[in-house]
Amino acid sequence: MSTYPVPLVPNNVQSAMQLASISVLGLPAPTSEKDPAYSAVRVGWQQLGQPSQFINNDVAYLRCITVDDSVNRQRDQQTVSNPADMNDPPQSDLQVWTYMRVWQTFWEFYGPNGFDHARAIHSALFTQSIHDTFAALNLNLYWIPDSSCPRRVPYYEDGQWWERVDFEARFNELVTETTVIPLAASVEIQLYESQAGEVDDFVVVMPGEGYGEGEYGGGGYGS
Amino acid sequence: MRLHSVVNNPMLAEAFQVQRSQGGYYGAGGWSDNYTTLNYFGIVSIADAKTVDALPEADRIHGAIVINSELPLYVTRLSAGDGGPATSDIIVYQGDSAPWGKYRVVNEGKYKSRGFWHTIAVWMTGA
Repeated sequence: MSTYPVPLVPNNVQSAMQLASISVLGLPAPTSEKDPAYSAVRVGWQQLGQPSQFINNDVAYLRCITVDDSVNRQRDQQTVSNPADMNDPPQSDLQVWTYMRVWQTFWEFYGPNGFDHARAIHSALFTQSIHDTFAALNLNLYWIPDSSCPRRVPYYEDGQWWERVDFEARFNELVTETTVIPLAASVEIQLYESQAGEVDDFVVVMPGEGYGEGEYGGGGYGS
Repeated sequence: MRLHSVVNNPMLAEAFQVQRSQGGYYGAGGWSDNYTTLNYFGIVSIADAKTVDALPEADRIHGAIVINSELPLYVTRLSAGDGGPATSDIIVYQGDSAPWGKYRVVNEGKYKSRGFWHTIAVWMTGA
């Protein structure tokens, strides 16, 4: 059984951001699936859309995507013993890849208090509570302290001007991926010279004790 | 002039179904809806070029229909009676599999004083 964290998907991140935003805005913690707090902080890009709000309602929408970043391209790889392999000697190893993935969350605040709500969430990112919230939710998500300033962007729609404030923040996620790789129990090696023909024939067998954790050397090799 | 007798004329009108949201809610992670199916009767036509031209680009690809019916068809609305906010009606026309299928209401013309509703719906490919 692997103990590595499962890579996040957009629904994980959006739900975490939704809960964190509800908390920062001082709304009561949701106690049911239909809790009104969810109406105040909504998740965007619903399959069939979702009803909007009245112009005087304070409502935030958030959306999460992954973004390109140079840190995405650096990958660490190591080979470790496969904890799920109970064979003796083991028949597989685990190749473990780790890399950093960058998530970006967009917040859009509507309503007469949207500007101040954006300030509150923007400032909350600098506090320990956001970090602790993600830790409590068991998310490998860490804020990059370089968030944009909230921007007031009123827009004209349906015959009237709507108050709106946008800002976005990025978060690092340490992603771990594993691949089971099979091991050979033994390999026969035959050596030939052009003149003399076969000069040696031996078998390399799977090492026993002390094998694993990236070590392929050690005892156990022989002819 | 009330035209409901025209849109209900069996020489022109036909039966179809409507999947209507009874009011949904904003929950953890997103919107949840609650649909019921209604039987409808009205004149269903293929939308002409000028009608399709008025729709957003992404909805032009696979066409649209125009429905004239006595009973109302709804776009997404902030309040559906006691049910709260609700998303657009979905028309099930001549079965719900291709080449026919489901169409989502994107525009409603409220000719209530004339006894009918004029609705545009776009094909939901893959639905």
